Amino acid sequence: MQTNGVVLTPTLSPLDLTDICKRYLSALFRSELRRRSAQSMGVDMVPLPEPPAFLPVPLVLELGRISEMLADAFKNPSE
Amino acid sequence: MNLRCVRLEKVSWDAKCYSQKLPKTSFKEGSKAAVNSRASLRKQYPPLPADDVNSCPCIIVDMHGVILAWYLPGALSKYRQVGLLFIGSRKHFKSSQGKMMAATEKLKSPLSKSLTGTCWRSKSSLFRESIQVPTGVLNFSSGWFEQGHAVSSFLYIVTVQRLILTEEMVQLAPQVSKSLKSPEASVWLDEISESNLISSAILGVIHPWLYGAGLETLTRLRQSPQIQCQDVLAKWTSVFNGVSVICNRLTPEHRDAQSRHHWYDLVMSLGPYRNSNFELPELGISLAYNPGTVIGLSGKMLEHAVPCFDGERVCYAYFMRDNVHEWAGVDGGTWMKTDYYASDDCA
Repeated sequence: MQTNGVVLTPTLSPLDLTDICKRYLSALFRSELRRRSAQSMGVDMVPLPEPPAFLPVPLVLELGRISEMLADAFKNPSE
Repeated sequence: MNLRCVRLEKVSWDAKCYSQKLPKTSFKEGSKAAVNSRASLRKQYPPLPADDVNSCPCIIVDMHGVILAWYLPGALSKYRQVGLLFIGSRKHFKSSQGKMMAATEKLKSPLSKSLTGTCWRSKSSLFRESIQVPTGVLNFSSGWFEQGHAVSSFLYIVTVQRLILTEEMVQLAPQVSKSLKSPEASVWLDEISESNLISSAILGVIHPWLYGAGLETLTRLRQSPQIQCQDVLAKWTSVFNGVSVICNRLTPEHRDAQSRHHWYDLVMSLGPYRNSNFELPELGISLAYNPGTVIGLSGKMLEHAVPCFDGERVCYAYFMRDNVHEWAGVDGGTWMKTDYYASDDCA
């Protein structure tokens, strides 16, 4: 089954894919928050989560941008 | 108004108390009751001082850190939406239009028949004429009670004792919206699936509990034999109960009644337009609403409006329905607070 550029393996339903995207974006967001906290303490080594292998690159990149935007919204630099 | 950059908008009152003071039914706009109700609310829960338009990503919180809204300008890539570059260049627009715009074009025919004017949401005077983007509004749902057909089991039993009702007159279980049964909608649903993944993933970060509740409700819909059109449900990749596709409409101040105060709706704005603001009049907050903006907000609690735009604009408004979650027996959940993200729950 193919849905708009996202190739699903036979064992993955569209709903599985929804949950995988959510888990990946949540992991990216947490990592981004940790990275910013670490930076403020002079540390700059927070690993990024590995993207799920079957997500297309444009979607992975877009989720990366969104995670940074979410962290921008949450982390107030003027605090 | 000038643009400004504020990263945290904080009101001085308690959102839970505020939500309890909101009128249970909406008054007719402009009526004395509506004016009095609004004035009374503003006195007790004052908006922030009127200021310039905020254009920086931010959250809006109450005095206890309850998050009322997330503002994510430019969250959607150009790949997914069409920006200002495309105004006046139809060729460029056609070759570069984003996935969501391309999917929306598939709805041209049903959109053109959608302006019935039965309520303000489909009133033709609020819609702008367009060249590139089809005009109209369509609602799609993976399972809802059609307006005027919802009935609880208890009420049904009581009512049946008094009247003999046919199954067409009452709806005991949610059903896939009729709008999803057309061939055009089927193509659209395939093409929009990746964008539905993204909106669901964003909800998973800004309101993880609501994400879980939506997922559980959708799973329940899929497991229920009384829900027809399981083939459509199998293609629905969003944890939201539904989405409104709103094309070229000016949106007056309103609340979305069929949700819960502590839940979020998610709006995504795209298209070749500019000069638009997302207004939250009761908070005194105005947000720049450029193409690619995503806003998650409590649409039942916060009055909101989009009073202007130049060009052609499409909005995808994802929503949850209270009565569908009630039918599914899913936990009502709670408010999201900033301290959640510092807790172990978030890790």
